[in-house]
Amino acid sequence: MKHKILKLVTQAIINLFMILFSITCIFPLIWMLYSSLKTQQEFSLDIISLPKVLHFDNFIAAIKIGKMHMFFGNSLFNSVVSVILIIIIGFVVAYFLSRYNFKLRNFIYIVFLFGMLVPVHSLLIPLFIQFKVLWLLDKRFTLILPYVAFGLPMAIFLFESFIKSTPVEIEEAAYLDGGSTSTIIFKIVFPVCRPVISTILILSFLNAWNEFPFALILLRKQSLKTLPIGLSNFNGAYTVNYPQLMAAMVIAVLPVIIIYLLSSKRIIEGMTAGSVKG
Amino acid sequence: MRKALKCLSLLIAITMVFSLAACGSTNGGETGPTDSSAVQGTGGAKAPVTLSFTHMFPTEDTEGNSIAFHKALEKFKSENPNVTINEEPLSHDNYETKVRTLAAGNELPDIFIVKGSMTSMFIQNKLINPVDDVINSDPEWKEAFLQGAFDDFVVDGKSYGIPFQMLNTHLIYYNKQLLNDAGITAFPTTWTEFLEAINKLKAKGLTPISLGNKGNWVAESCILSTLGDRYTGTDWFRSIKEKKGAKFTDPEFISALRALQELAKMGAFNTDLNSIDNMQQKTAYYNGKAAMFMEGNWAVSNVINDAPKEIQDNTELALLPAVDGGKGDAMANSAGAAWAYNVNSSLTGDKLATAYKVLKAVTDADYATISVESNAFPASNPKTIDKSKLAPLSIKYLDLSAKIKPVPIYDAQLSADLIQVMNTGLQQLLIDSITPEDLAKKIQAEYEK
Amino acid sequence: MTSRTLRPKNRVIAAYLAPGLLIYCFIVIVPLIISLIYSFFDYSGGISMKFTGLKNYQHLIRDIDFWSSFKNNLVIILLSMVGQIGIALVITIFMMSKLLKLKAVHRNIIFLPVVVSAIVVGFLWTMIYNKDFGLLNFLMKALGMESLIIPWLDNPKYVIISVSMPIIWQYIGFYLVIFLAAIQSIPGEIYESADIDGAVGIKRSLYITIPLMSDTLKVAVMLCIAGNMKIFDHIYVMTGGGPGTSSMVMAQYAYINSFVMFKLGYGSAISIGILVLSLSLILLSRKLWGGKKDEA
Repeated sequence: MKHKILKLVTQAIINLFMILFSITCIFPLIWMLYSSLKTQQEFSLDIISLPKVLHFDNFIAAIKIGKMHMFFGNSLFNSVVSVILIIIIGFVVAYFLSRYNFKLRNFIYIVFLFGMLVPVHSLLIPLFIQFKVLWLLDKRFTLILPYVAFGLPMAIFLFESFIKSTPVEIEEAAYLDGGSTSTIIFKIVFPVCRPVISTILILSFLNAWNEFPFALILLRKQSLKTLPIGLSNFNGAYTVNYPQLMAAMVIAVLPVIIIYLLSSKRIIEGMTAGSVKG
Repeated sequence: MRKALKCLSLLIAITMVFSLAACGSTNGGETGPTDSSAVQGTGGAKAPVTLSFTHMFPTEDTEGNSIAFHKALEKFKSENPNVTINEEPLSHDNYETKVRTLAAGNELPDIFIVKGSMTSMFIQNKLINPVDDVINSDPEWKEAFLQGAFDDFVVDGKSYGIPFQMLNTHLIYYNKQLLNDAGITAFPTTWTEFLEAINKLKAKGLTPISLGNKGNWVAESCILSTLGDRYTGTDWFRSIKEKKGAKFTDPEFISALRALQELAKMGAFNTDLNSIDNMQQKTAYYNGKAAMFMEGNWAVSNVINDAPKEIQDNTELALLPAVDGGKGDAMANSAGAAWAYNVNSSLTGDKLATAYKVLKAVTDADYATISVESNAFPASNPKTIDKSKLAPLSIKYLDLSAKIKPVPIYDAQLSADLIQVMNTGLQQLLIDSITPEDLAKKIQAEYEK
Repeated sequence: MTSRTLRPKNRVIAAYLAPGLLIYCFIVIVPLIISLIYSFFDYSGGISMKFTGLKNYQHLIRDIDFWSSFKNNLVIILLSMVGQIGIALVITIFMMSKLLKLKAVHRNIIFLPVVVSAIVVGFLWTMIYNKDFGLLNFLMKALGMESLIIPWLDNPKYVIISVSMPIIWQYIGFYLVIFLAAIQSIPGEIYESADIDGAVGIKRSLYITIPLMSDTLKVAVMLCIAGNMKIFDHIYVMTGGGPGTSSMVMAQYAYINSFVMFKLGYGSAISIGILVLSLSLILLSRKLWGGKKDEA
C-alpha cells in the first residue's frame, strides 16, 4: 500500500514536472505565432495579449516585400548540401579516429577540437580576404564551404564517441571475410550509427539554416542570400516592426520544426531497433 | 600520411601569403562579376555603366528615409536606362558590420554609405576621396544643403561624404495632457523647474521620462550630446575634436554627467532603462504611463504611425531647458547628418561621373521634397513643401527645427573607440555604479591613447 | 581494433581523411593563422598595418574588461553544466521510466527551442524578463512572490545569471537527444535485468545508465565548455553586454574591438586568447575526469 502511494506520488510529480517544463518550451513559440498576427500598434500597446482580429497582412508583406520565398530556396539548398557533406565526411573521419591508432591521430583530433572553440566572428575578416583572393565570393557554393567546415567538429565528436561505444566484432569478422574498407565502413558501420546520424542531421541542418555572419559577409548578390539575412532586413535603423519580424520568423522556423517532427519519428524507430538488436 | 600533410601545409602557406598580400594591394574597382541578366541600356549613344551600391535601405524598411530613397532611385533608373545598379540592401546594423569587413578587405562597392566616425579610418586607408570638387561644380546641388550638413565628414577642411539626412538627435516628446494633470502648464524653461516637474510627475505615479538605453547609444546621442553642450558650450567640443587642450575631466563636462546621474537618482527614468531599447521606451509613452521620452527626429514618424490618436494629438516637442551657469545656448541641439554617401576611391572616368549622378539623385532638392513628404528629414532644403500632406506633429517639428542651433552629436564626430567607452560608462552612470568623476577619467584615458 | 593485421595502410587512412582535413584547414585553420598574424599588428583594416610585436598581448593580460568577461563565461559554463547537462540527465532518466506518459510528445517539445535561432531566443527572453509586461513578473505576482522580483536584466550583480537562463533553457533538448541516442547503444539486456519501474527503478537506472554513458557525458561536458566559451548572440540580443560591461562575454568583447572600435589587431589577440583559454579549460576538464576513471 505504502509502496503504491509512493509510486503514485512519484508518477504525479514526474508527469507534472515534465508537463510544466514542456509548456515553458513551447509557449514562446506559440507567442511568436500569435504575435505575428497582430498589428504594430496592437503589439506596441500590449505584447502579451492575443490579437483581437487575425491580421495576415504581416505574412503577405513578409513574402511579397521580403522575397522570403527566394531566401527560403537558397537556405534550403545550402542546408541540405551541407548536411549531406557533413554527415559523410564527418562519419569517415570519425571512424578512423575512433577505430585506429596512427601517427598524428591525437593531433588531428585536437585540430578538429579547435574548430568548436573558434569564435566565428574572429575569422570573418581573414576568411573574407581569403575568399576574395581565390574568387570564391558570391558563388552558389560559397556558403557550403564554411558550413561544412564548422559543422564537421561537432559531427566528428558525436560520431567518434558513438562508434567507440559500439562493438567491433562485426567489423572484425567482415575484415576477415575479406571485405574492403569502404564496404565495411559504409555498409556495416554506417547503418549502426543511425540514431546519432539523426542527431547530427538535425543539428547541422539547424546550424546551416540559422547561420548569419558568413551569409552576411561572403555574399553580395541578392539572389544568393539566405533567410536570416532576409529576416534581418525587417529591422529599421531606429525602429523595428515586431509583428512583421515575427511573421518572417515564423516562416523561417516552421520548416525546421516540420523537418524535425518528421525525422524525429526516424529517431524513435532507430531507438527501438537499436534496443531490440542490443 | 606525412606526404599528405606536407602538401596540406604547403597549400595553407600559399593561400595565406596571397591573403595577406591582398591586404596591401589596391583593388582595381572591378567588384565581382556583373549580373548577366541585367537589362542593358537602349537609350541614346550612352555607353552602359554598371555600378554596385551597398546601402542600408531594405524595401522592407518603412522608415521615411528608406521610402524616399527608393522613390528617388527608381526615378533615376527610369531616366537613365544605360545605368545598371546592382543594389545590396542591408539592415542598419548589418550594414555597419559588412562595410567594415569590406573596408578591411579593400573590397568596397562602387557606392556606399560612411558613418561620421568611420571617415578618418577610411581616409587613412585611402578608401575614399573628398567630395568638395564635385559638389562645388554644381551650385544648385551645393546650395540646397542645410547648414552644417557636411560637418560630420569634414577632416582637415575637406568633406568626405554627401549627406542625405539631417538628424536632430535630441527632442523631448511630451504628453501635454499628462503634464497639465500634474499641474505643469508650460514646459519648464529652467533646470530647477524641470526637476520640479519631474517630481510632480513622479508624485502622480507616472514615469517622468521613459528611457530605453539597451543599445547604449540613446543616453549619449539623444541626451548627453545636448545636455553636455548646455554645460560646456560648443567651443569645448571643437577643442576636444581638434585635440586643442580641452579634457573630458573639465568641470563643465563632469557637471553634465552629474546632472544626468542626478536625473536617474531622483527617479526621472524607468528602472529597466538599460534592458529596454528605444523602440520599447516609446511603448510606455504610447500607453500613457510615461509623460516624456527623449529621442531624435526620426521618432516623429514613429509617433505618427504607431501612437494611439489621443496620445498623438497631445504630443508636443521641446528641448532640454538651460542649465544654471552653463556655457551653452538653450536652443542648441545635437544635430548632424551622421551618415553620408561616398564612392570608391578607385573609380575613374565614366563610372565615377555616373556614380556622382546617382548620388545627386538621392541627395538633391528634388530628393528632399520626396523625403519630407515621407515624414523624413533630408540634408537639403526641398524646393517646395506642401504642408497639407504633413501630419500635425511633423509641422510642429519643422517649426521647432527652424529655431534650433545645431551642435555636434558626440557619436557622429568622435572616434568609435572613444564612443564605446563613453556609452558603456553611461549605462553604469545611470545605475549609479560609477561616479561622474571616474567616468570622466575613463573617457579621458581612452581619449589620450 | 588495435590488431595490426586488420589495420589499413597509412596511405589508405590518409586518403580517407584528406577531404575532411582539406576543407577544414582551408576554412578554419588558415584564417586562424592569419588572425594570429593580425594579432601582432596595430591594424584597423585596410592597408595601414604596423607591426607591434607582443604589445597587444601585453595589453590583453592587463585588460580588466577582458578578464571580467572571461569570468562571465565561466559563470555561464558552470550554470550550464548544472542546468543543461543536469536537467537533461534527469529528464533522460524520467524518459526511461514507465511512470512517464506521453514521452514522445515531451521529447519533441523539449527539443523545439533548439530549433529556434539564438537571436529569436534572446528576443523572446527579453520579453519574458520585461519589468512591466514580462511573463516572469506576471507569474511571480500571480504566485504572491512580488517581493522577490528584481530588475532581472538591470542589476549588474544578477544580470549574468539572468542571461544564462535562456542559454540553459534552449539547449536542454540538445543534450537530451544526445543522451537518448547514447542510451540506445547500451545493450537492452541490462535494462531487462533491472526492472525499470517505480522510484526504485529510477534510482537503479541511474546507477546503471550514468556509468555506461561516461563517454557521452565527457563529450557533453566538452560541448558545453566549447559552446559557452564562444557564446554571443543570446546575450547580445538581451543586454548587449550591459549594464556597462556586467554581462559582457569574451566573444562579444572581441567583436566590439574588431567591428565597432576598429581595433582589428587587438580583436584578433582577444580571439587567440579565447582559444587558448578554451583549450586549457577543456584539457583541464579531461584531466580531472581522467583522474577518476581510466579512459577506454
